[in-house]
Amino acid sequence: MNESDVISQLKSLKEIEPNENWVVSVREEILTKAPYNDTISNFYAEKPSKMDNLAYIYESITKKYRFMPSLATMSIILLVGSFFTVTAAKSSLPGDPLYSIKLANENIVLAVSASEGDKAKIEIEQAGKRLEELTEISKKSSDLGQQEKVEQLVANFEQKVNSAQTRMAKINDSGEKKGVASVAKVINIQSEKYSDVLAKTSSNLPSVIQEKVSDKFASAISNTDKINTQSLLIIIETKDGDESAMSDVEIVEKLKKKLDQIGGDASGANTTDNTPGDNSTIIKDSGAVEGNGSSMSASSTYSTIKDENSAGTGEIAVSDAGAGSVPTNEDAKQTLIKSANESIQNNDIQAAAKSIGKILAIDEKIASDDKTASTPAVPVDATNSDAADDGSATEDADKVDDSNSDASGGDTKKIDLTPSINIVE
Amino acid sequence: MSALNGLEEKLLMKRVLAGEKEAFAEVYDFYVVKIFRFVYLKTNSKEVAEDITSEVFMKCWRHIKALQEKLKEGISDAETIGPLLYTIARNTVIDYYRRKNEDHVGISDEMKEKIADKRQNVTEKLIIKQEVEFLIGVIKELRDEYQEILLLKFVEDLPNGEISQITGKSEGSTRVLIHRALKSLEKALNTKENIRNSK
Repeated sequence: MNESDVISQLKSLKEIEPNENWVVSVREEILTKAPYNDTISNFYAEKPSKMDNLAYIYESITKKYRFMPSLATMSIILLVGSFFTVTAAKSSLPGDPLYSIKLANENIVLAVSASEGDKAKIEIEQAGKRLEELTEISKKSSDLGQQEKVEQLVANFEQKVNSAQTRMAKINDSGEKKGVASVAKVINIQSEKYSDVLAKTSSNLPSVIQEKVSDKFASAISNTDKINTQSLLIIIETKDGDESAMSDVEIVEKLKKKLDQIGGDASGANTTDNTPGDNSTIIKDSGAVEGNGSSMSASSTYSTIKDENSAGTGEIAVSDAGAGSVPTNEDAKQTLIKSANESIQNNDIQAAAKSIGKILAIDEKIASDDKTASTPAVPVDATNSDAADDGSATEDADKVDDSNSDASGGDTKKIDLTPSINIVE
Repeated sequence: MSALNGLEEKLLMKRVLAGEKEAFAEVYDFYVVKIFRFVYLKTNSKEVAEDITSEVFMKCWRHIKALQEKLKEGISDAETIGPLLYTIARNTVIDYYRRKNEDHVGISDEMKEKIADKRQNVTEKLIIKQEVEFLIGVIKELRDEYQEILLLKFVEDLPNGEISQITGKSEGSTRVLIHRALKSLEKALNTKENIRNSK
């Protein structure tokens, strides 16, 4: 086969075409979406109120068809009719004839909103609508397609939440501090509610369906929790002394709650008994904990973690079931939970946030390890020199003070969520 | 439908920017199949390609509004609509993959049937289906930038200038990239062909 054969083969792909009905329906949709049915220049004009819309439409019609007021009135009736269709669609549920109009309407709202921040807020709101629908559907035990609808709604919910999260991360990456803080606050507040609603709805479902969809609910809840944590970290990260996004007291409360939750999950997953303040998990200071060389800041906290109560013993007492075995990611998590708890006690929100960020990173790693046939913890290079900036939350009091000033001065940078942490003895 | 020449493109964009709705309808009619095909070959799903394609036209509409404002303030030049649409499509697909880590270029059974249906007899249909499948499979193994440049150059028939606008590369490197991509596909096709024949 020579070059011209290759080109002619490639040309055969030109025969891929969309469905004609789809082409026509999208054409209509796009060309009729302009609220004034007028010019593009009006399409994204500032949103007027509903009454302004109607008045504008009436005026344009009577202007254009001066001698046909009845036509104008008729058009208004039609328009009002479609307004009511959209309004009626708002309360529709999956399976209802108007439900697709509801979703289409949501897409329009999303498409016409200008900024990523607005879009993220809209999407998190729309995720809430899926949950309202889910609550309604879960009550209808006689519904034949209940399971499919529940699955579809949970998937749609997750998709909306993930998309909002992606937008939030995008704004965060762009360094737009103020913008991301307001988005993160909305996402944080809403996602907290959503986790509870999901758990409650799941338990209200008939047990036959509950069994089948439990995995999907578990995944949605864990995803929502993760996004909740990420948004909280962004709030802290972008705070910079400004209390408008969230007050310190509120943040501390949220951090404590988050740690309880993570601690609960972790001790459930691991046999290590590790309540805050308990010294059963102690990791020796230098060299006891190593981070991946590619993730400078991720490794930094671990390198100097040392339990002050055991100072001087130099003891390594990772209380994993298999004593003497290589400490696992779960051990690293426990250490970080402890470190975060201590940071909170010292009112060092930034340091606590860092530790939680790293817990998230470990979770990511565990998840990705699970996907790739659960490879064991990989010992990594310990030559990282970026070790002393923030990890001294568990050091003695003087050092804690030093590290705090470091953290608040230089460490308001991005929290590294790179999943690349492991500890080795 | 034949391609628009430079002047026609400019006139069309001028009408679109003037807010003429009919002009946007013409843009849609001219580009919808192309954009759908471009997105389809990148996403391997009819449904996803449909969603992304309609999103592309909505985004394009919004972009034009922003462009109108910039033109009023004299801070931008009018763009050409074709490269604009492909760029939006490309970025929307990238966003889609950021959300979902799925397989790139590929082709669904349904679309293979559709291509095959255009052929005359049954035997030819079967051969075409296999060939398309084979070709897509080989393209899929190429580097992402090769896949993209081959689609833009030989399936969408875009001139190098427009391709460089879409991909953000210079015309010189676009030319080199097309050449390398083609060689790479040729080599891959021959290798796969030999393997297939030896079985």
